[in-house]
Parts: sequence; structure tokens; C-alpha cells
Amino acid sequence: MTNRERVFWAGNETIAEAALRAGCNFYAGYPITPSSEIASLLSLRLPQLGGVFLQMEDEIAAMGAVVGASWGAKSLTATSGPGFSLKQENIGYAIMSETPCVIIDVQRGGPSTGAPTAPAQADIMQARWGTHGDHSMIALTPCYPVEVYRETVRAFHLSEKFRTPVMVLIDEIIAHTTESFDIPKDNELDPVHPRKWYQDQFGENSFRPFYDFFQGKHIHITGLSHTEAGFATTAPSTIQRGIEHLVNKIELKQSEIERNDCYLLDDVDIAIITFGSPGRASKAAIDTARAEGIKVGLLRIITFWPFPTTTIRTLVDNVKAVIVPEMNMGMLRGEVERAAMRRDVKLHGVNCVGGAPIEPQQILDKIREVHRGL
Amino acid sequence: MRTEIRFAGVGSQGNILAGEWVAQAAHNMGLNALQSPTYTAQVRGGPTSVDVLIDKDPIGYPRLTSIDFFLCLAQGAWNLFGTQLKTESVVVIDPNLVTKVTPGPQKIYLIPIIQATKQAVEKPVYTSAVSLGIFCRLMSTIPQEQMIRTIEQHAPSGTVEKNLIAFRAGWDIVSSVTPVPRDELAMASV
Repeated sequence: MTNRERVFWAGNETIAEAALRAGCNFYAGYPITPSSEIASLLSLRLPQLGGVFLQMEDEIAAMGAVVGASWGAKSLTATSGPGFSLKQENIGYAIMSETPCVIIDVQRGGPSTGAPTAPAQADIMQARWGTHGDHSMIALTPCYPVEVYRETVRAFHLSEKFRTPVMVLIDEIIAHTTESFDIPKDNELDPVHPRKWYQDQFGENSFRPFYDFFQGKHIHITGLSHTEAGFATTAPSTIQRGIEHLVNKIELKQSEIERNDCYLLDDVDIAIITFGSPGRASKAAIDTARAEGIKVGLLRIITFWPFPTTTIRTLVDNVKAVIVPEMNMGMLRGEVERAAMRRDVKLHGVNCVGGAPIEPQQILDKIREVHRGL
Repeated sequence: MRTEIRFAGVGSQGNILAGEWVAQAAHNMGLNALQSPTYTAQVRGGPTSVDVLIDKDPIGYPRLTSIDFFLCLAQGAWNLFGTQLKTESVVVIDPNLVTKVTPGPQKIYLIPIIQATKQAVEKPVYTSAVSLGIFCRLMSTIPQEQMIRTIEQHAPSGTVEKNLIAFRAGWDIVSSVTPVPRDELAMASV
């Protein structure tokens, strides 16, 4: 008996199906290109499976509904740039109230309305810093269809484990590309029961108790700084403990969360560091450059936040130059520079923000140029 | 071997649907297939294209870099998406809709696709099926019977028969067309 099922799905369809695989039983959203197919598919599938689909009056309300529903359900919303901006305040509420939920951001050109049907990767800093206040963030940036499936499921698992909103950032190319692939069926993808999981982990990943609504428990949920009982406090030591908890529960567990894809990275002169869909163009460029005798390899970041600082520092210390292709003006490049902690590192960007994907030839040209200068 | 296919035109002509069905047929044959549409925020009338990649091996870069088959139904789409062609690319245009062509090494099939669709099934809405017939006849990528099966499976209910008539019209019209050197068309465009 085969352990695999071959499908022909677009990225948005893959996300919807993966969410159901993870046990998602609540979706609230407001349609926005290029994410709308996720809502469209779940509006059919969730009611069939006994779940709830809500189209709310706007993006803000949709995020509010997701936060509320998460106290009893596994919740999802999907959006794109302008909607992602509107959701930020309620994402902060989810962080502060330690409410597990998953947010899909299908990145399109911005700022503002921007280029709704064109790909971009310029929300990656907003994912980390879009809401105010000290906190950490988990954001995943898959590339290939099977990875989109796995990482969407993993987003639900991580959100339950760490009691925090988890983001999956793809772009218009991934969302709208329909492709043949095998659905993985292994145990890693089995749903985890949120409350049981939480009770097992209590005290480690949760500052205060977490019970479903309507189960006979007294619960108090607030966006104010609060005590371990869930009630507002102004006591500096308690507030300090709470905020340190929000940051440390993720930052100190980086090794559990970090995931990268490495390609031909042993003994390289030039490292390409990228995330999301430019990973495919990068691999194609590397194959051509390798055939020309250039020692170049790829580190593709799958867990973008928390940022793989140590992994990148180690890599940069062992190469002569780094190329960072990304569909923004240098957001990842800045993080790589920060991680490297070296002023002499040769960092080269390939930055496309016009709505066209980065082509292998553009990366290959940069590899050759950098190689000539070594 | 990697095969690269692009259908282009304006929104509502059914070009994206044609690409979806080619990719679906290839997937049904057990090949690795990928289709990726490009369109604008306009509901109708904006330039659209669909890129289809078919390969026995896993597909790397998901967009086209060296096109094997290009069918275009609008001047604006030709200007935007008529790139990445190689000398041996099979190129089809509707000469009523693409009238200005720049020089190049390819040979181009001039097929009045919209007109042929109206003649075959009266409504231009079946243009995508005519395009598929042309594609199947000119390329050996998808066998005719596989394409027909895919149309039967995926055409909206009540439209299968007309889609198949349109498909056969596209298949048949190819035999009456001889490709013209692109340079000659470019001279005539000036």
C-alpha cells in the first residue's frame, strides 16, 4: 500500500488542504487577492467537515474572530499586504493573550494597494515587527508545494505548542502555481490536540492557564499586561516576567523551530542565501554555475523568524562572498549583515520589486560577476 | 525533457483555462506538470498569460525561459509575453488580433482562431478548446485522446459537446495553414 497520494494543486489549495489535515476547524477572513482561493476552498470544505467558515466585514474583524475562536477551535485566517497591515493590532492581542492561531500572508506588491496580482516578499519585516511591543514571532517561508503543505501543518503544531500566532508567508507565485506533487502522510503531520498539549507543557510555554470556552472553567483574557491568573496588573516585576516569557518561550527554543534547506553548501566560495520562491531560481542558477566550475551553494531559509542567526554567521564565516536574491529591496540582506557581525563580508543583493519573478539568469549573472571579483 | 508552453491574450478569452487543461492532461499522464497564470487586477480585458511546464523529471524554476509553444490572441499580450522565444519555437497568432510583429527567426502560424471558433460553435467562449486543438496537432506533448478525456472531465456540465466540437475545429484548421517567416510578417507590419 502506498503511503503517498499524488495531487495537482495550486499553493492556495495546498494550504487549505494542509490546514484541514492539521485539524483546523475555524476560518475567518475577508477575501483579498492573491489569497482568496484559500477562503473560497475552505468555505466549501469546512462546513462539510463540521467546521465553521466566516466571511467577516473586514480584515480587522476577521483577525478578531480568529483570536476569539481559538479558545476552543484551531483557527486560521489568510490575507495579503493591505489586509496584513489591518490585522496587526489583533495579532498583537493574540501574542499578548497567548492565543494559538495561524495567519497566512500571500505576499503581493506594496506598499498600499500596490500590485495585487504580482508576487513580492516585502512583508517579512512586517511579520516580525508589524505589531507594537516586545514579543517574538514564528514565521515560516516555504517554497515547494510539498513544503507548503508540511509547513502549514507545522504552523498549527507550533502555534499550539508555543501558544502564539504563527505566520506562513508565501507569495503570489507559490499561491497561484498549480503543480503535481505527492502529499506526505507521515506521523509528523498528525494533528496535535491543543489543550492536552498545552496542559502537558504548562509552565514552560504558557504564562497562564489556557482552557477552552464553555468547559466550566473561569477564564479571563486580556490584552493588558496580566498576572499568571490572567488579570490585569501594573506590578513591574510581573509585567517584566510576562514580557520576558513572551520573548524567551520562542527565542530560547530556536533549535526546535529552525528549518533550512541546504544545497551544495560544502566547500563553497560563494553562498546564496534566500527564502521562498527565489529558492527555485537560485538552484537552477547554481547548477549552471557549478558546471562552469564555480563553487557556489544555497542556504534557503524555511523558518524566517526566529531568524537563523547562528547558522548564517557560521556559513558567512566560511565563504568569500554572499549573494542574497529576494523580491524586496534588501530586507533579508540586512538581517544577514546583522547576523554576520562583520564589516568586511561581501554581500551582494539581487533585488526584484517590479512584480516579475527573479529569473535564474539574473542570479547566474551575479554569481559570475562576484566570482570574477574574488 | 522539459517542455515549455504559453497561451496569452486578454482576460476572458479562456487562455488560462487552456493552459490549465494542458497541465491537467499532463498530470493525468503521470508527468510532472506545472501551470502558472499571469493576469492583472482588471476583471476582463487585461493582458493574461499562462505558463505550462511539463517534464518527466522534477520541475525546478517554475516559469518559462525557452518557449517551445506560444499561442497569442492579443497585440498587448504579444508585446508583453512574446519573450523567451527560441528559433525553433512553434508560434501561433490570430492575425486579426496580433497585427504588429517585430523581426525574429521563428516561423509563425497565422490562424484566425476567434473566427474559427464562431464558425464551429457560434460562440467565442469556446476559443480555449480551439486553441487546445491547435496545440495538440502542432505539438506531440499531449496525445489527442488524452486531451479529449481531460476536456470531458473538466469542462463545465452542458458544455462538453461544444468544447469537443471546438477542439476538433482547432485540430482540423492546422492542416490548411503553412507557417510564415516572422521576418516577412515584421516587414508587412511596418
